Amino acid sequence: MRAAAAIAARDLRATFTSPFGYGLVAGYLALAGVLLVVALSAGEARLDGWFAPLSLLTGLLAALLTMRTLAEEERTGSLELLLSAPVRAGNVVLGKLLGVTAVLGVVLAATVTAPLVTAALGDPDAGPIITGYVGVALVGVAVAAIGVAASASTANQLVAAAIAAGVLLATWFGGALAGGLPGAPGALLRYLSPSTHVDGFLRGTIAIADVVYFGSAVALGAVLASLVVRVRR
Amino acid sequence: MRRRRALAAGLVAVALVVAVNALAARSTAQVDLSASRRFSLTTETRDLVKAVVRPLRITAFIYERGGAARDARFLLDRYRELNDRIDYRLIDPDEKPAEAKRYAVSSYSTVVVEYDGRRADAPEVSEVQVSSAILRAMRGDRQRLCAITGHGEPRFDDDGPGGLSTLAQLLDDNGFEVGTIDLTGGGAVPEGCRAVLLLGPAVALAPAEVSALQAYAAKQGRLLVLGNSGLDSDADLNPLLEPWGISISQAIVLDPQRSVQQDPFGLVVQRFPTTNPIVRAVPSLQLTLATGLLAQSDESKGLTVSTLATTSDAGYLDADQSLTKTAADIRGPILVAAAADASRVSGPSTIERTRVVAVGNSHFATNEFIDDLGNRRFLLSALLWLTEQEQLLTVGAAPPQPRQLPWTNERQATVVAVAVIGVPGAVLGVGAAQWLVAKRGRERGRRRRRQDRRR
Repeated sequence: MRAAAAIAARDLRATFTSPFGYGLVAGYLALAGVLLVVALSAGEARLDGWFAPLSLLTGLLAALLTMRTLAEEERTGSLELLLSAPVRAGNVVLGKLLGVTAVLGVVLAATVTAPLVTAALGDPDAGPIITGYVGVALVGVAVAAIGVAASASTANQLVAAAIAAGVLLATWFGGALAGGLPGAPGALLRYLSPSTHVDGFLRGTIAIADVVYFGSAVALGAVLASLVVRVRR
Repeated sequence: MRRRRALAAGLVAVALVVAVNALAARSTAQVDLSASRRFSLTTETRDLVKAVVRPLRITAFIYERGGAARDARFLLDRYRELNDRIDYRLIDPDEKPAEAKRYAVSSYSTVVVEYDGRRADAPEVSEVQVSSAILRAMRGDRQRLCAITGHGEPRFDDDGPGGLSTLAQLLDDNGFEVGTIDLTGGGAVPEGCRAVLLLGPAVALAPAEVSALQAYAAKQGRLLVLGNSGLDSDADLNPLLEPWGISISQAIVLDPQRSVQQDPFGLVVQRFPTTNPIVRAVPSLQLTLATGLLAQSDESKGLTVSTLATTSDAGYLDADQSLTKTAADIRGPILVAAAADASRVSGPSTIERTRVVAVGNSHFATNEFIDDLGNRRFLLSALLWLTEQEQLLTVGAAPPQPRQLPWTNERQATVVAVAVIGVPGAVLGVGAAQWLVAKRGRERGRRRRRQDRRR
């Protein structure tokens, strides 16, 4: 666990000492600001219309952040060093995942100005704001886990990002397209879609089924990434 | 070998994830942090929904792109989760006017529940209203309403502007059956009348009629009384209303700040100083040539009178009939609608209850005005309350609170300055500062190394 924390701290430092990290975070925050303007222009002091696209944006940010995790290490040749160290594969993956989660945490903390501005202008319901952040964070961590697995299985950063973003977008819009599809295929596509499971968080509810869904995605991504790392060792 | 083991482990992990999700998907357990926990269905609703054995369709007429539609979809999903015989759809009346016309729906946020060939309407997409409508549609029994005739009241079969045919259709759609009774020849209110309607009598009621209605009201009666000012009516309804804490004036109510399109006699009522469910989902009322009421509760007699609707502070009762505000007039806010509820113990385990709703206007129920503002909703809610169907379920969910945030240029500028420019700019600033510090550090290091080499 200590090894995982050390890897996470190193990755967090690396992100916030590079122009790439700052540029990415600033771009994300600027887009989040634009989304806030669009959401509030509906004339209601509610942020579910902001959290919904923000969760997708956070998922895409997670895909971009994770593309550098193991694929970057492989490109620079430091992966061999990392894998030859007396650290278990699970700890390497956990460290990488915690590092991206910490970056996402910092980024989401910076968006807290959005609810503060909304509260200063109107009277939003606090419950959905709290659960909205939980939902957005869960989407981010779930995509990060899939991204780490993708990053572990390829040396090409762009391919890693494309896999994670592709899984996110395919399941997200697959669920939306399944709206009119009857029977089991429609229900399956809807269930697989993160947008289905994040909806409750945006309204102020935390359902067991939704938490299990995101928890499963994180666990599956982490396990698959560990297995890939173990095979490559 | 290692690859095969990893593949097997991966497949086991996938199978475990599928199994856990299949189990979790059946669970409806959730923590609800929304205001008033409005997305958590109560036990009563769950029991009700389980009792649905045939296809039940909920059609919500709602502006499809707003936050209210997203909330409606989420809430109605909870119903569908509990019973797959329940189906719902959202229809924007502006985008599909033909569909709205087919359902005779004219206002946003109306919900129509259809079950087994029956229909029940609800005024908003909230748990209490949707569940009550489901229960009414499932129960299917029709409540008989008896309308008093013989005093120039508007007729239910009249489809002209002054008739009540639209109200008749609304009542029919919601499980009421309207019949007329004529008490001018004497006699009592017939058994089986779930409520008696006295809608805008133009001439005075005979003493025997008043006595019959008084006797009916005293014996767990339910009365809807729509009176008018002296300009429209000679009927004195006070003998009927005063035992229930309500008295009605003959003078006209004016409210210069709330008149309709410069028509001093058209009154927009927006103040509902009560928690009574009749006006809970009513945004506003439009009355024409209305008169004022007085209301007085008497707790010692178990009589509670709710002040349902009043004019603004600028409104007044034109006591001297000058049509201008003078010292002789009664200053606002003037009460224009009231509801009385009198409960009394009549036996060891029997509680008798009388309910009366009085409005100082009957024109708002006619075909000409019923679709204005919240008139239709008010009338339906009043009858549901009178017949004790307003809250068939003891659902504690409070109605959603509107959280308006009118979007002005000033607000937009504030949000853009803070969220689009300020925060990302600050992050870039911190990044640039850090880069400069690091650059200086590197230069200092280089200089030191150069100096070391020279030495």
